[in-house]
Amino acid sequence: MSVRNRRSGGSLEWLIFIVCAAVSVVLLLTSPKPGARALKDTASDVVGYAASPLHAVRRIFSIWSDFDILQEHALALSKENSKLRDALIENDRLRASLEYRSRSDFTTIPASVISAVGPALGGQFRLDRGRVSGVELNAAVITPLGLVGKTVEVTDNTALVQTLIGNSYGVAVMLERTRMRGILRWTGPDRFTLSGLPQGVDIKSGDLVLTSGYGTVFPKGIRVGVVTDESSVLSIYGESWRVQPFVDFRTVEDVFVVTGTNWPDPYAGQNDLPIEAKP
Amino acid sequence: MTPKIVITALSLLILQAGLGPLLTVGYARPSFLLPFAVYVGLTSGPLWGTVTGFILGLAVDAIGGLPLGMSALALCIAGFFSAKIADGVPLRLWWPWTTLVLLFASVLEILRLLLLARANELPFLSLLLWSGIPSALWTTALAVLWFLSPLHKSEGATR
Repeated sequence: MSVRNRRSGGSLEWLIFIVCAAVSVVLLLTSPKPGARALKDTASDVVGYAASPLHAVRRIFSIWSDFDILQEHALALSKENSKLRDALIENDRLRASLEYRSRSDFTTIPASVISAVGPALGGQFRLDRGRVSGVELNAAVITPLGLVGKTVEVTDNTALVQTLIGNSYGVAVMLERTRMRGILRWTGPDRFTLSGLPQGVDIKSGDLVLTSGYGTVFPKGIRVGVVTDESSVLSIYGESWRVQPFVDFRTVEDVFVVTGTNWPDPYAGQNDLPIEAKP
Repeated sequence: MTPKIVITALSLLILQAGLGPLLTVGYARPSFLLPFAVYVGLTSGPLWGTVTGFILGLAVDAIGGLPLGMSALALCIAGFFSAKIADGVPLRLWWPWTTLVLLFASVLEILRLLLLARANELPFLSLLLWSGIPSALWTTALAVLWFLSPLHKSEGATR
């Protein structure tokens, strides 16, 4: 009798396991479909809400180092501000004389990171702001230091951000000094490369890399990083240069989500390639 | 047993979502849920191990950016086979606890990185070296710490 029970119990265990494994595989194959998306959205809202108080705990660990960093930044920025004020006045005067059209600033929504589930390498985290707060899909996410990534999932109260780490998209960028445009990609742990530049390009270590405004996601002029090596390397994307981003994506806690994507296209009339769009 | 599993699972899920980033070292992030699925498998049998792993994995996939079903598959395999492999073996530190956690943490990381590498056209071995192996070791280290801690001893006393 006991042997029979154990056998029937064993069959049930196998049956349940096979069903669970089969459901997992089916879900894997159908995860982009609307039903699975709705389930993901609901679960994200619930767990995001439940995990949000833990954000305060995490902040305690970083608040002192943040304070020191912010003080240094405040000092540097106050110096830079006075220089930029002069430059702005001069720039306005020159623009007016050349009849350049003015570029409108984009608006932002402040948000905090409430969870980061999954592999650290994936470079994804969830924010405490969603559709209700005005966050849209494919919105650029930035910090005062520079570009972080873009939103790849948006629910009513949360948003999932894909950083430049482990990205499946290239960012259209340009060199500040020479205005040469290229594409920035993550090509492995601690490795970002700038490719798509013409041969013989004038590039120096320390050149500032900004978003170029090509495409539909990232507005022009957001700081991304600096070129760290003048010599090019060969990658699967051809000749490319190493870039060090300004943002440490693993320690991001507070960000700004860019909204109002109706900024004037700085390259209107030119061939506009949706480079940031996921293929 | 069931309410206890449910409450622990929910707590671990919230801890994973909220405090996981705090325990991230380099590209290594530990999983609290995989050792729990293994533990449930070892102490409550393959049925509970499978169901717990499946539901927890589904929840993790739902709140993270990974495709729905990926962690569910890995965790239900961990819950089920940990019970089957160590059937009748008393729960001890190195065997079956540490060995099985390390084994299934490696399986979970390999599954995750295979998807990541495929989606991003990146070298799988490099990802495994930088993130997969360190994450599996980190998860195992935390599981060992938990086993040696008073938390586990008090758990053992109540059973």
